[in-house]
Amino acid sequence: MDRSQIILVAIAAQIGVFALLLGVIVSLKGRRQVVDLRRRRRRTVLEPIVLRHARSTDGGLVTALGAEPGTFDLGVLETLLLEQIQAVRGRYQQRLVDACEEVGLVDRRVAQLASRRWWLRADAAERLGLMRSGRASAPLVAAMDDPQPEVRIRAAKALGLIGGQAAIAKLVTGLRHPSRWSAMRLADILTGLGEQAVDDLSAALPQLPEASRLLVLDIFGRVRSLKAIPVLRGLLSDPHPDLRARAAHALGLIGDPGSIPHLVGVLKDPAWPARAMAARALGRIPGREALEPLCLALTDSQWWVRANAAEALKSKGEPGQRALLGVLDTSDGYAREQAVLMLQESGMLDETMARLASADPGEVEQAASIIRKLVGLKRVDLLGEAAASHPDARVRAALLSLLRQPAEGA
Amino acid sequence: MDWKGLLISAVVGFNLFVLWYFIILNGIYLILFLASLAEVMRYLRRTFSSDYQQILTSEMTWPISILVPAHNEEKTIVATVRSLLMLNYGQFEIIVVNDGSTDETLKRLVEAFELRRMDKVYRRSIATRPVRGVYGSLLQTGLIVLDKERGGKADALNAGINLSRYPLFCSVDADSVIEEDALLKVVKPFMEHPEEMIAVGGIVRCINGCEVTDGRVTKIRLPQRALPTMQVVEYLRAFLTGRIGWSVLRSLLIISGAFGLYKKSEVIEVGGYDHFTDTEDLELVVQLHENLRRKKKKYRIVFVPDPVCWTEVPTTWKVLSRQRNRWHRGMLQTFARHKSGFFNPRFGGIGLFAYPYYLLFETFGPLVEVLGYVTVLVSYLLGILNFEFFLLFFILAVLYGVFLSVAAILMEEISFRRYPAWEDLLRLLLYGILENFGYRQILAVFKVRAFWDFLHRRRHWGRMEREGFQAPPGPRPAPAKLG
Repeated sequence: MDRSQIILVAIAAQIGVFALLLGVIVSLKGRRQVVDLRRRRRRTVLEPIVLRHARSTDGGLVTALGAEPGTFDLGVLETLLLEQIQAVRGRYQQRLVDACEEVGLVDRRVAQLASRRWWLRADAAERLGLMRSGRASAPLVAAMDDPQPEVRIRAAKALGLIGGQAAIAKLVTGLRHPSRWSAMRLADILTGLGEQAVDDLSAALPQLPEASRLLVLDIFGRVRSLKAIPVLRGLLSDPHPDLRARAAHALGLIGDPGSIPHLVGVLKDPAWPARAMAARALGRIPGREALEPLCLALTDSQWWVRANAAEALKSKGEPGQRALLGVLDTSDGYAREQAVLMLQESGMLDETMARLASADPGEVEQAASIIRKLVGLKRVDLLGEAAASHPDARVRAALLSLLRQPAEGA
Repeated sequence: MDWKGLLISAVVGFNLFVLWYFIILNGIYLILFLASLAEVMRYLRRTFSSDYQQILTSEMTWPISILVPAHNEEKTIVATVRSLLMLNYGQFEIIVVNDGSTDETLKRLVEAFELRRMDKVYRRSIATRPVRGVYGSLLQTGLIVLDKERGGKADALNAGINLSRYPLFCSVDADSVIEEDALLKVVKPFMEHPEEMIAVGGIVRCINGCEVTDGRVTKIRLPQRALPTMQVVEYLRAFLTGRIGWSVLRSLLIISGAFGLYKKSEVIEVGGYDHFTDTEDLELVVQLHENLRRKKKKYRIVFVPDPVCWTEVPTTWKVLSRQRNRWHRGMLQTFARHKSGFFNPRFGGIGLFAYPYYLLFETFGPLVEVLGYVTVLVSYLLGILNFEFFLLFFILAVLYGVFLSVAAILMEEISFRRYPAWEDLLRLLLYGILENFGYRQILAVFKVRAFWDFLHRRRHWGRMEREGFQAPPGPRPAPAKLG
């Protein structure tokens, strides 16, 4: 065969491949459209029946349908039932869950859990969770030992949706050797289960690897479980700094004022992440006890601690804002800048500027004194803008005058 | 041997070179296509919509800073920011960097979102041009506008990085529309591999022809005109078979500047975006690869085919020429700077495969193609052109090009199916054929001109003349009309 003949063969092959691809594309699209059309038509017939069935108090779905559904209708019914199960609660939901069992959808998906293809097993686990059928619990617990992580995690999620103590125990066990992504998803599932998971998690905590222990602390915080407080306070002196930081964060989320002295102690922790988390946590817990330590934390050597302390002071309302004003007189430049920003973001500066137009001379002088401090610190962007555009002419005039004065303590 | 004999030898030798070049290049394309097909199938099997719901609601999801560099974007910027504010994601902030605009970009933002100046601390982790002011929004707490002196797109992005609070940042072009769930999809690889993941790119699709309402793409259609439609096919091929394939081979070198998610600490470590090349997105990814390889760190830089960024493509040859000139010039600049990486085993697959491929085929490919056409002409003049062989070879080359385009369309049909209309599918197939007659050859000429500019150290971005997005027909066109 010469070169031209080789190329001719190649061209013929190309044309063949092109025709094949074209055929596949067109037939795929055509088939999909026909199926979609048929599905839409059946849906308009079946949807009212399913909704009526959910609202009624007796009788099965098969009776309502008039006959056992065929394979195509079963697919449409599954979509409809899963949509409605997510949308309703209580008795209506239970009617739909029972309907899934009655028409054989649960058995069908349980059988699919034994498929050789992992993605079909994962899909089955996902759907069984959405069906919320208690009958699926045992097969799903077994699926938690599937060799494929994707199947295990979807089984875990399904168990989380179905609930029950057996599921919790299995999910907590699942935290022992998971990948990070699986662990995070498990943590979300356990958080969804709420307070009922706390005892199992507390019991398992000492045996879990470090990464999983961190997740458990997050779960405690997100569940806002008062039962977890003693465990968390104990961990504030754990040798591992990440655990100390995460425990402080969780205590802040729970928000028990009794934790304030413990968290104030963590502001002196040698590890800055623990100090930063303690500062943030103190901002979340109501109470004035932490104002002074938080002001002190504004001079911390680490910017994250200082930023969190400033945010925490801002969140304390008026007492915190007064404390921030006090920080303007400190020698720490970054602390002062954070304080200015927080005063702006909290709206206190707007109120101060408005007081420049007050009839009370004492109030005006108090406001002017604060503005002078800001001018002295050269944080005048917002002041300059307000001097040009504040709606009150008296405020604009006062600001202009203050901005022209020699800076105080500059 | 006389000069004619020498010329004939040179022409015959070059023909042989072109033949082997063609075989190797198309072999690589085939491998990339097969790798992409396998990856798309794997991606579809692994993707459950409930995963995104979990990412959306989980408190453990990484917060993201969205950086939008804007220079003279007064026509589109408000709609772009509005569409970003509607993104389906938990915790995120939007930082618009007004890069010395001479139009009313800043004014439009200030008015639309009731911005006011803030005395926000600007930490200069990366050196940038001076900052003129930081503005916060009274309406949207997550929106910050940074006003700075003109320093170019790279400088604007660096300023955004300096101001950002979160560990991940997403670069978004001011004239692009990000799909509602795109952030959820692009962050998923970071959730799966938090230690190793460094950067994730999403797919860029052409918005020309689509209907846009309130900053969202509401109806997907192909453009009516031929030039943008050819670019739709080209983008499909480049993203669905090219980038996915390189991502599978762990050698992805390009994450589009229009939409990419990065780990901030790693980007700061390489000094942020570089000012000295015309394609700062390519340069950044190459620098990240080199830095991480040097540190012998296990890492991933991947492409995800589903999160979509819609962007307007050029509708005139003039603008297209400028755009492709810049892209190609940027590639030349980057590879000239990183020449030590070529065939360097220290850089693993990047040094041994990706760099050589990009240099030999992507960078020099257009030069070889144009020289090939010149050689055909010279062969004809010398009377040594085997016309039958030339014609057959040309048909084969065209058919192979058609195959690659149709393969990309097939992949689109079995996976994401963004073009539901039959008419659009048939037009995609038609343009997949037509683009081989003229369009690709002209692009090759544009790219060859980039060599000239590169050698003369010319640097210019060129202006993208926008037509604006298409509003749906009916009584309320005003909010959707951008530009």
